[in-house]
Amino acid sequence: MSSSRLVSWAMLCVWASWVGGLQAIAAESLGAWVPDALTILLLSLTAELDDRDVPKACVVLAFARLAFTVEPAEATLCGFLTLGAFALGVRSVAEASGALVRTLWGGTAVLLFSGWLIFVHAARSDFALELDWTRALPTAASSAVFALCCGPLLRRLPGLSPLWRPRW
Amino acid sequence: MTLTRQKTIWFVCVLCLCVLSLRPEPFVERVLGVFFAPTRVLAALASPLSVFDDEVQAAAPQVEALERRCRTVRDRYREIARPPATLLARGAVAIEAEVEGRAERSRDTLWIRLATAEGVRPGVPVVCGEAYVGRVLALDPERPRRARVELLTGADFRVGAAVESGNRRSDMVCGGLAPRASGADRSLRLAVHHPSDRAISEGEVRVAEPPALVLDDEDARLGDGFLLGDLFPLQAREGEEQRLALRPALDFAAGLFHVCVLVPPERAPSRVPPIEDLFEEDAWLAGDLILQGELSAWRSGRKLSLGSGRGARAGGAILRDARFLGRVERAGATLSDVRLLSDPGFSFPALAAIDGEPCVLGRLVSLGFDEARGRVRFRMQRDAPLSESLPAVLGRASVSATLFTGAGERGVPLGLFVGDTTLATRAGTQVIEVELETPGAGEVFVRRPTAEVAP
Repeated sequence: MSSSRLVSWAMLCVWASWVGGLQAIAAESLGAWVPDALTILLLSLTAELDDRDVPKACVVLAFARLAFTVEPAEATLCGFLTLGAFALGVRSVAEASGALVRTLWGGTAVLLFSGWLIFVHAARSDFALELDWTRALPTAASSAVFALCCGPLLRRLPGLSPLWRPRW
Repeated sequence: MTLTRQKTIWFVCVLCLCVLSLRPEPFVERVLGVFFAPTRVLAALASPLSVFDDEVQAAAPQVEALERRCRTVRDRYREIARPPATLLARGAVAIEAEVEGRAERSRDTLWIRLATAEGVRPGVPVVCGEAYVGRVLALDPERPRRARVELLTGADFRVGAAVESGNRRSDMVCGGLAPRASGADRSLRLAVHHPSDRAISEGEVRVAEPPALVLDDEDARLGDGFLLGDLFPLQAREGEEQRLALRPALDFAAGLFHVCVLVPPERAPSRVPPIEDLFEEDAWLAGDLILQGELSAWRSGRKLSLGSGRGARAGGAILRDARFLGRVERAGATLSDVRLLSDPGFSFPALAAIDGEPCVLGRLVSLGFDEARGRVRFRMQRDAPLSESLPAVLGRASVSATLFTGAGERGVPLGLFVGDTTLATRAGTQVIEVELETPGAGEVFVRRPTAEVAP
């Protein structure tokens, strides 16, 4: 791996850490309406990364998410790897960086990921808790708006361009 | 469609992680804890963001006052749990012990932590106040002052007993559970075996071990006179013999926090040390909550800067300013996950101080933070009304109470402050609300594993 790519992966760790930290702090005041910025960052990256780099990005962003959440590591990693696989499928059939696609895909991905984490939490409590999927709806809605407004910005974060796949 | 090797590995990893997410394996969790150890670096990178935190530290006099309240409640509960001197036969000595939890595979076996193990042998009785609880099964060879206790509710447990009615007496054997009633009253009932006089069907049943025929086990007789429960007749089917059962004197399901082990005077220590102070420095490890916030909006948790390498263990209570904030859920290599009281599904054993008197509530389960009311909601279930534990509340529909932690779980000591609430005095399930502050980043204390706390 070239040194520029190594630096880029390190920069991704730094950016992911700050995005996660800001998201955690915003969650205290915005509650369920805070957009899932880390997941949107993952989807923005998968629109540009080479196929072989997508799993690595999923693992790096899982590291960042686990620094600010008590969700289990298995569930977080499983969710991000699954989203990465779906993202590759989405970009093979549509322009993933387009406004409509990134909005719809962003909202749907966050809804699926949040729903998965809610399900895991309920399962680990032996379903003594009520499965309330609606708790994920505000996050999914705000994440869709965030993807629309900030998706291109996330792809332009300094230091990440050596990771992008070459375009014809 | 051909699958590349990378896609196959990807798919298999996702499948394994999916299964492990739903059915966690402790070994895998430990491995992942080590694998994700570098998350500490990422958390540290975001630590400058804690300037946005608005946590206000309580003043030292307030904290000291709260600590005194906690100690008062704890000492009062311990006083209630001590046996009356009139029941201590032949100069028996009562050694205090805090309940640490139930055995993994048997709810009828308790783990207790003794003030001292000197003089304690398998077979000695265990009591709580006037009530008989069970017997010591074994001392833990690996951890000092820790013992297993078999409860009276155990299927194979038997103890000699007697009930008196006027100048008549019925001897019997008690132990194990009787079938639950099919009606509204679903409380535990103890089984009665071989009563010598079935005509006596009510009264207080107390321990009365017969003189041993073969083995002279005088230890068992130290429990003579302690209360087992109230005798009553079970509804018999036509043609069946009248059966009897006991309403237990204690809430065995959720109410055992503090017990005493009886030892004969010839083996008793010359001085019984007290249970360690609730806020003793050696019992707590200092750590930090990293950032105020949780990425999953439906959860309520924090990351703790202490990992298993520095002594954090799953289940350890989190304390700040004498307040119970939550518990360590998972102790990773460098960071630990903390579940706060407002995390849905979080549960803990609870004690209420009502008009200064402690009353066991059982287990509270968090239903999460109610944003509309600004309070954390808990579900509480009681089989009996509060007036059975505290006669002073008889006639009142609701009472103001202060919640504290109960014992019965490793890592959570008895007596940590939770918050103030209003309780309905009726039996059954109720939802209570507690005003709790959301903890920000900053210093907290984590309960050290009890085996490491010096006696």
